[in-house]
Amino acid sequence: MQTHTVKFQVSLSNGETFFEGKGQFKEVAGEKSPFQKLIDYLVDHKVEITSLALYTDEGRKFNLPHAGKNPKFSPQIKGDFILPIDFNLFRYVEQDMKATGGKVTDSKTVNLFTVAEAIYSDYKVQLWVDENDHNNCRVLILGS
Amino acid sequence: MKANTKFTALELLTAAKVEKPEEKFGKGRVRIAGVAGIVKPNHLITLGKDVKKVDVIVGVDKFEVVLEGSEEVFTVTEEAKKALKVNKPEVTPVVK
Repeated sequence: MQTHTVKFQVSLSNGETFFEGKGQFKEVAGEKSPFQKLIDYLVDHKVEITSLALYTDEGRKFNLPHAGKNPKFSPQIKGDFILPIDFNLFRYVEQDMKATGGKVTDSKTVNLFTVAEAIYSDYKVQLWVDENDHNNCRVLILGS
Repeated sequence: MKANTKFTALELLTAAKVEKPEEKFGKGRVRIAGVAGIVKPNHLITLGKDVKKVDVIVGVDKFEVVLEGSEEVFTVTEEAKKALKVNKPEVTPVVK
């Protein structure tokens, strides 16, 4: 099972904060992913995500825009910013494979990113952090 | 409503009995079959032939669409055909 070095931190509209890899949001083989468990939790408790960030065990944190009424990042309080309507998280994997006689004989992961998304009505803001190099962080904007 | 079919997101929200489904897009969370970020009613969702039910999440509410079997031949609904012609919307395959 893949152990991730970049994990999500999420705050909810009921004031709770959860961390991937801790408590009920640990990765367990054969179970739903921690983020899928979070989606179930949101529905069961009728709450929404107000902020989504990525964190690493060495203490780095990468934040998406906040969707709640009280963002900690003061410029977002002062500015007339558009708020995300939803959030999402996924992992992006690129692999090199060698095949002989129609069978894969060797494979190597060449890129592995954790990607957090802030979803707006007309576009998505994606925050990409490299699992193998936490200095390699990118922001992309996609139309929808 | 049967599996092995391409639907629009609006058709699936309507089948899930979401109230005023056309007003839900672009204003809050809409997830269909685990697909996040659905912000347009003509977002296309393809349900594979083995799909039995579809979870639909709108805001903080969860709905379910139970499918009545599967089409023998892959089918595109009339609404999905219109969406394909007019807007070239985002297409999300669902494999289960």
